[in-house]
Amino acid sequence: MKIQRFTVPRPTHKASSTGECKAHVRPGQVVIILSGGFAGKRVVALKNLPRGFLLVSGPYKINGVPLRRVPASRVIPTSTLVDISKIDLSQVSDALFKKEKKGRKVIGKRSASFENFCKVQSTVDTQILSALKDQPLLKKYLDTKFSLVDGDKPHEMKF
Amino acid sequence: MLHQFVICGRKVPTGTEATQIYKMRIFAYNEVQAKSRFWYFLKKLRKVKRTAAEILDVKEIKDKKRTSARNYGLWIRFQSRSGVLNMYREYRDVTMTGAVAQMYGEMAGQHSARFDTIQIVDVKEIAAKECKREKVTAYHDSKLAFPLLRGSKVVRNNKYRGTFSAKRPNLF
Amino acid sequence: MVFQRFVQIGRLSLINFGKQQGKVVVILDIVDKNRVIVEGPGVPRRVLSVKRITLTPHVVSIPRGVRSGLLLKKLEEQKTVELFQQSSWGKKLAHMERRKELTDFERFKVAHLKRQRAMLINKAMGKLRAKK
Repeated sequence: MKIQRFTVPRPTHKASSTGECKAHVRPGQVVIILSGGFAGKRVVALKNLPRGFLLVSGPYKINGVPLRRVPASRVIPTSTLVDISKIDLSQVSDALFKKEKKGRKVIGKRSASFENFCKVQSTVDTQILSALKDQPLLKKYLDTKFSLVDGDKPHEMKF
Repeated sequence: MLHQFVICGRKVPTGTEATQIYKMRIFAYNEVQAKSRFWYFLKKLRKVKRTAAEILDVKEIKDKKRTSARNYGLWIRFQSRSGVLNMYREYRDVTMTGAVAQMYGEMAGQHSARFDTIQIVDVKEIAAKECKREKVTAYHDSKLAFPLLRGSKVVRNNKYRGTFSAKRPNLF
Repeated sequence: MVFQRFVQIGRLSLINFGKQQGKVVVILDIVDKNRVIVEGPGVPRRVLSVKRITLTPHVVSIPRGVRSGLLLKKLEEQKTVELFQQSSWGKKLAHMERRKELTDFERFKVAHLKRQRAMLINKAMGKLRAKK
């Protein structure tokens, strides 16, 4: 039995690398997040970012995973593809993910940057959702968490 | 694993006279053992000793990868505890070394024969009609059929095997 | 207890160990009680221990030690491999093989369909119970 290895580069933290990471994950590919708060979630990869990171989105409406940068080495790429060839990501930049300086919280009022994030999120999501329109099962798939039960052999599974 | 060697040797020439070269086919587990057997036999057959002789060539004859069953006849001389016995034995195998190895195994089982008490006189591939032993001729019947009694169970990969099984194994 | 399957020339068997595990072969000749010569579609001719094969109920009629070309022809003529594949054993093997090849999404689909089937069955059962 062959052991499948995922040849995904570990994220390098060197500042020098500015080029695109090699396209191990194609845009539109459904990937399974392995670490962090969203571990086990199936999300749509949108873009390869420099230094071995991936831009992903749940989409938020389906499974609650927002636009996020995740290390490509911490995902399992699957063979399922969502057609997002026409997606417009011009509004997504590193600045979008910058955290605001902590100030006094005003209850009931959202900050401007958060408002902006939500707007970008919803525009990106509607584009993904339109691609998923006729595929209820695929939507359900994205909504379901990946998990292993006793006896499952992830190294022998095909994704 | 048994190997087949062809060894050439001769007396070290002392003058201008040509010396006889001896060539021998030897079955042994390695080259060192083969050379040792060569000297052993040469000493018995001719007046040649290792101190005054040399080995010219040691060549291994490798078995061809064969995929058809053959019959082999073996003539051997066996030094038993009570005397010398000459024997003719037959084996069915794919290669000649395989047949010889079978012989060593069987002799060890039936006669407690060690490797060095057996001298192989000749080994030949023989035609089916020349075979004498029933153990070999039994397999010449192309209608032969026998069931698998034991040990033919599905051998699973170890990693799929659990500690316990709900089903009793089927052994036939 | 009567034996039904025999080590014999032409017996269709399965390799049950090693790299070629699961492949179908035909016994072409018997070397001795422990070893046979086999060949099959995708399996080059080789000597194999009888412990490494599992006998099937199917036999192809061939002469002893038949050549590869004729063997494949005879197998095709007599549809021996096909017959095995259509048997419940053969179907089960093919099914297991397919299940192994499933992708993540396909596995999800299987689970989804299973759930739906269970739902239908439970509904029907519920109705039956209510009738009682």
